[in-house]
Amino acid sequence: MAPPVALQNLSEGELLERIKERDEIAFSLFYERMAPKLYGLVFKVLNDAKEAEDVTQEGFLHIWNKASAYEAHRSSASTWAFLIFRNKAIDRLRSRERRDLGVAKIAQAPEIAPASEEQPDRRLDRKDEAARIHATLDEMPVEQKEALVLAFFQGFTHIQIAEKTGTPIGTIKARIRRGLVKLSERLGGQLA
Amino acid sequence: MIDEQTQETASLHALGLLAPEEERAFVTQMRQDEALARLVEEFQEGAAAMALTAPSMTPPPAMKQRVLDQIRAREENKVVAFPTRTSVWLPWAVAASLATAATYLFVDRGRMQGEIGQLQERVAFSQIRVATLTSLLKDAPNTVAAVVWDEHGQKGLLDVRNLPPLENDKDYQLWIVDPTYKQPISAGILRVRDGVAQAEFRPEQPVASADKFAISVEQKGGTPPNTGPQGPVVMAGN
Repeated sequence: MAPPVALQNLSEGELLERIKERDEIAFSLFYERMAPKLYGLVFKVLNDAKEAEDVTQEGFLHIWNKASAYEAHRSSASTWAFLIFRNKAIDRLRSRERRDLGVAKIAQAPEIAPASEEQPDRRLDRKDEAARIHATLDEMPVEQKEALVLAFFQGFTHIQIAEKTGTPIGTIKARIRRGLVKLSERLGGQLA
Repeated sequence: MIDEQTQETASLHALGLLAPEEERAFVTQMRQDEALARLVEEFQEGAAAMALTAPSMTPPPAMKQRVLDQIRAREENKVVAFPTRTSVWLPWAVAASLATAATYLFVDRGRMQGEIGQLQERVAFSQIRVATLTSLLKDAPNTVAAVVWDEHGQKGLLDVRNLPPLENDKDYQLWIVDPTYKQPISAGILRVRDGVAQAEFRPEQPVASADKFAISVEQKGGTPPNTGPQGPVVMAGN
């Protein structure tokens, strides 16, 4: 059954507020809207379809169980969800020491499918946001971008990145800080 | 004005890169400094935005139904009378989780995780956790363990299968990672027979939050009190 039109117009944050009240239809809509991005994120970290499926499933159960922890004045709903799923994926990655296998498994990755469940206007919004983030990353010095990508998608600590790149730890810390400052400034609090 | 060094620590916190001790100290500092908390929120927005650079992928169609089934099972069990005496339900819980593990372990690990997760959801409101530990040993990937943790009773049950044999001067030791302590808390030495260890355990110190469980290889008899693991961690999970 299709969800009521009024619910379809709610933002992710508003859906989370309803999920706090155990609204299953709101949860279902939140899933439809966010699952392609969240599954894509988890897959990018893990490079393993089965593990990405497990972690994505865990992530959505976390959303249902811990929705009450979401504070709209602290972060956007997408930020809250992205960080939950990213952290779960990194935990899985670290616990299984998959880093070395990751590159090899990219070749076996399933074909990337478009986020067909999302409403077209929301898809365009996210596409615009993604373009802005890509542009910001591309404007950064290569080393700064590399530090952010290694930290965010592969869970490398600043110490590991320093070892991997043969760069002083202080320099890596500074690159990460400057990179996040640029991303935050570019967003201007508009990531919804 | 937040100095550069604190900003750097804030950026590492936003990405979850701080060591446990640094993380605790930073969180304490952040709770007392609203400007720092705001900076962290901005950094988190920036970090999370990187997720948008990952290509969207359509998840398997069956996943949504599995998630919905699990949340419905949890909600239904909220109103079902559930045995509350530890002695009654603890064996049930561990038996169920381990039976599930035994059934699906080598057939469908994903389904095993789902079943155990479902069990965990059902009993979560009774302060019971079911955790699965996975092997970090490259030469023993099939070593598996399940822990049922009773926070209220401060005790748990452990079942490990396919543990590789150790040298005579070594022991396996169980740990509970509680963020309120600097070191993991010892939950005892494992007595292993034919690769299997099954036992009830009680940690050496009160556990406020059992975030993770781990098994390490230590010298015979285990590590001295309050020292944390000295040898390699071979299994971990939550």
